[in-house]
Amino acid sequence: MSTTVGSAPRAASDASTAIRSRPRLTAARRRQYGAAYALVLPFFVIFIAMMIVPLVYAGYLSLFRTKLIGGRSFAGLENYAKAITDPLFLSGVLRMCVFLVVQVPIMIGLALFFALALDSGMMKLARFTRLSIFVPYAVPGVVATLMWGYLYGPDFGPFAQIGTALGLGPPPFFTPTGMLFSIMNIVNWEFIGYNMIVLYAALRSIAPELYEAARVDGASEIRIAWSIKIPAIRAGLLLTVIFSVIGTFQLFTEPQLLRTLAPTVIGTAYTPNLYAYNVAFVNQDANYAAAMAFLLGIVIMIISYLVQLSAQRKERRS
Amino acid sequence: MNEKFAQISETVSPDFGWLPFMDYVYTNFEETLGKAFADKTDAVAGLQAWQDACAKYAKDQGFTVS
Repeated sequence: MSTTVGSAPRAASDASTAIRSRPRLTAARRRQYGAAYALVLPFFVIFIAMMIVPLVYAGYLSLFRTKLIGGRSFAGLENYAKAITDPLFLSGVLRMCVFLVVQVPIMIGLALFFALALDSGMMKLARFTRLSIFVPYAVPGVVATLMWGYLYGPDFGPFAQIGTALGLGPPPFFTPTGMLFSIMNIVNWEFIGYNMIVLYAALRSIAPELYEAARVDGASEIRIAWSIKIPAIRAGLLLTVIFSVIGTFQLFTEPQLLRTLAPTVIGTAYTPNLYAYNVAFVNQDANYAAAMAFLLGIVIMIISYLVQLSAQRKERRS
Repeated sequence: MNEKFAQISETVSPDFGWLPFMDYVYTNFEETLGKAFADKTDAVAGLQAWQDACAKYAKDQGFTVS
């Protein structure tokens, strides 16, 4: 403790000498630089070993073709050409686009509604409500899917039992059309709380003077929410939208787990990520899977960029 | 369950020729013949689709399918 207190003024004087004689570094200054690099070194070692090297290796793999008979040979961009004409891959991407258009507005809308309701301060038990909406996010996705899988189950789930007891038959949770909505419901349940917290935190940072001014002008609470709160948290909303876009295209856990319950409804290519996984580990075609993973990454980047671009344009117009 | 398997194993023909990619065959079953069973559609067409998918996979892997 005494050394830190003692070194603080010395560091300040070092900084002033460094400004005076820019090109020549003093020994103490050089030691500080050395320490800074030594401190960020573990991050870069892990970043390169766990991110850059696997990415480069996957890119390298995606340029080859491996066969049981004939072994590995160079294929150029053949795997990419195969992916953009593969009906299974394209149907997965299309399904995720439907998911995006239907699920994300519902999720963000409800999250915004809850955040505004909590922020208005007119709610009883606000703290309890906030926690109980947020808790599903703390439940791991696997556990959440298993739980919902039990609830949905056409042979054993409680809804199916109630439906059968009333003579209506089990609800269509696992039918080909119902499945996508069942998954949307799980994802909504998991992530509304998370998005609500992001938006609520953004709402708390608005200066209260604005509300006072609006009240003096005679604005109602709904008018305040619409004209002050929502424009002020536009950056937070954009963040949640971009996270949701990325999360949608990476959908994997829920369909992978529900596949065991409804294997004929969720095929191997239900989502692009699930397809890449099955191609790599069931079809044993790591090369094609790597190409699809790269294409999916590019699609995600393009859509995230478009979302950001349209938001910026809207901001400039207003 | 395993007791049943032990009893069934008596009836399994040891002359059956296994493919080198049974993992794919079993997974594809769910999407072709298994789907036909579940949806109660034409099982023969499902079986044909299963066979076609397996033959296509084998050709992609460099085998000659006759």
